Amino acid sequence: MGNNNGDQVILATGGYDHSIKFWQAHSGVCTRTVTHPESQVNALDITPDSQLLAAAGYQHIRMYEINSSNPNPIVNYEGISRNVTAVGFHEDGHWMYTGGEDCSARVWDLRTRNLQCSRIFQVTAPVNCVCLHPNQGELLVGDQSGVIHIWDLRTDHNEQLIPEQDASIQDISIDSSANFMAAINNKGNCYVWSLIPGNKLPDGEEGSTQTQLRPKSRLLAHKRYGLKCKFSPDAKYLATTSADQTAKLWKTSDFSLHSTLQTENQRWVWDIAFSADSQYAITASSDNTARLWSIETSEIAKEYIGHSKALTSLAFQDGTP
Amino acid sequence: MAFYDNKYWILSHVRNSFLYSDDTGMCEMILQNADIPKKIREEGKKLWFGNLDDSEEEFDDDGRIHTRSLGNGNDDFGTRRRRLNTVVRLEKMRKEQQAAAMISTIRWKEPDLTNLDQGEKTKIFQKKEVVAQNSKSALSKLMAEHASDPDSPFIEYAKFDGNSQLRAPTRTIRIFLSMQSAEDRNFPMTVCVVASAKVSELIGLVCYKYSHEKREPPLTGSVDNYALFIAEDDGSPDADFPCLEPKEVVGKFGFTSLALVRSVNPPKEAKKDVETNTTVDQLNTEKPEERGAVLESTDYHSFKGFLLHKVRPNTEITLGISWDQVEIKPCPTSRSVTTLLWSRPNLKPTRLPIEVIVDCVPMQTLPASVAIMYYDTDKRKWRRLRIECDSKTIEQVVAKLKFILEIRGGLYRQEYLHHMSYVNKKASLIR
Repeated sequence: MGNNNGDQVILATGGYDHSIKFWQAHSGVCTRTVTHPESQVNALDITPDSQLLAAAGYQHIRMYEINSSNPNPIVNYEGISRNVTAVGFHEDGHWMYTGGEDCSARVWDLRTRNLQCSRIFQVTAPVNCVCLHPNQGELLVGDQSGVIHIWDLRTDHNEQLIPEQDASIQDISIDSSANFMAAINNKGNCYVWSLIPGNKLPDGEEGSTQTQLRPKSRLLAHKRYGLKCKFSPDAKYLATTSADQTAKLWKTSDFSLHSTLQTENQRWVWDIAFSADSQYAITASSDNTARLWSIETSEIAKEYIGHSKALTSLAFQDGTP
Repeated sequence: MAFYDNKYWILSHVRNSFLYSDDTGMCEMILQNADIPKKIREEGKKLWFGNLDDSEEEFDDDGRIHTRSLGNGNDDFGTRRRRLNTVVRLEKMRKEQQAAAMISTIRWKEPDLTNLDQGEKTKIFQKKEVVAQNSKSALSKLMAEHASDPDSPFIEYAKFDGNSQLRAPTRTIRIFLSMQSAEDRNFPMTVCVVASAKVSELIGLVCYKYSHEKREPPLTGSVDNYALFIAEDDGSPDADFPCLEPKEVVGKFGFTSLALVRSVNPPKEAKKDVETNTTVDQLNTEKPEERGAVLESTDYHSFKGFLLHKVRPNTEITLGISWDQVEIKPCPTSRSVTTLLWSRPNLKPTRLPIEVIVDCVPMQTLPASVAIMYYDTDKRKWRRLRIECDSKTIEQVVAKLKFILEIRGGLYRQEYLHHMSYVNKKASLIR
């Protein structure tokens, strides 16, 4: 299959035009379009082996081959009654997690077809986002009633956290070294916690207790609906995106504003991703366009033009040069 | 003259009449599923020695022609009868079903917690040490490498590329680039454009692809500096017609070849006549003196020959080769008793798009023949057509097809060549 797997740069975008486009990230050329029939794309993610792209839509999660010309998905995960709003993978590709408007987060066993180790976690409100802790053992589930659930997959123990009353949690992010967790809500407020890793279990049992959270900061990030928050890989920045047509970068050292990524035509900014060296950010916006921003200058370095309707999600994988 | 004493013929006639007079397509769906011809054939074998259902009998796998009627060809323009829309719709449904069959479906299963192996669970949901990520970026490296690339001024037109679009109607057009050197001009650019684009946007797309492919000399100015003309067979712009109006929609035109010409001044509404004249003047000077005999071979050409069958006598045919397809038309023959019994009086005219043709080789047989290999997209396998004709014709057919395949050879051809090189390698190992 692919010529140089882990090393390739993959950028895929999807939204309301029932298609997913793959881009050459450094040139802005669309290399391929695949069909995503009957549904918008809510979320995208790339499998850890860089072979497949997962697209979450209405009632389905579809998997597309990345290194092929097949315009159709090759696997279709179904049996969910509502929109699937979040999708992601265990770092070794053992399982996939999803969250959806059917008020549940799920874990799909990818090792065999019969979903031997599948799991389900039910909450009382539609799930907007699911984030996997870098320790690969805890899922953070944010729902529309404003609750963040911390679900320990091994013990099934869970804890709840309500940062703000009557505000829907839109997105949760944890930085790669698991020092901070951030959550953004529909009021445009972003909350940050420090994470304290769980203790080793006594009497030689493997694993550890649940991660503890300590409130760190509250950012009045945007005046309108917040949509996504994400830490840069070096954890120096926290990015927040919003319906106010901007994405903002905050320094994690003191949570002051670093820069605002905005341009004339940009509309709601639905999704954001960072390059591995935290030098570039890619945004997806309702104006049908994805943009590559230089973080140093806050200027647009590339635009990805070709979609015919609003973009709501992107998946980006940087390679090692 | 029809034979009304043949009940099979009448049955087939009635069936076809149903299909033809029904615009909803329902009859076709029902009758196709019933597979009446097969039943007729089976019963017919008991009763008749000869062949009854001439049109569908010979679809066996020994490389004989798999009939496709002319109506299913790729002509998108011109009027199409509603009945053909039904065919198109059915074809689309069939393709969708085929595509769906390739997708494996995994349904959510409620986890059976009682059965869940605790050891397994501990293993797969084990917490890990958080390790630092690498902080080198391939994207940053690529961005740095390509920082000096001038951004094509035409990049905004990249979105009209039909290849990156799905479902939107497209037009595939050969563009001859008159600004290139005489040698490079022999290799026109094939552009797939969305049909709803304007001519000026098509020009932009051509310019974008031109600069993207790093063709020489580089283009300057904006799309207003260029015009598209109808191309003659040899690729030179046809000076008898004005250039295509930049505001018109591409889908309106049916041209398969156009020529891109740099106009001296951007055309302006008021001085249109004058401008056209200057452009035409330039056309005349730029018109290539000699286009070489090679390119001529992309024009339509027809050859006479005999299509070989395994058992029955050969059918006399006309083999037509053009830029985008290979046609096989049976020649009308005088009917004798033998032809009635043994030949296929209505071998349908067949049209194979050039994309499915994979190779063409002369055969060392007596009398001489030529084999055209193609990929049958319905049955998904390689097939072979053998045509008998004199050696000079064979030479021409092979030269012409090879030339076209050289430029236009698609995925199927690559796949075929790859397969053949593998087979040859294996064969040489055995030897």
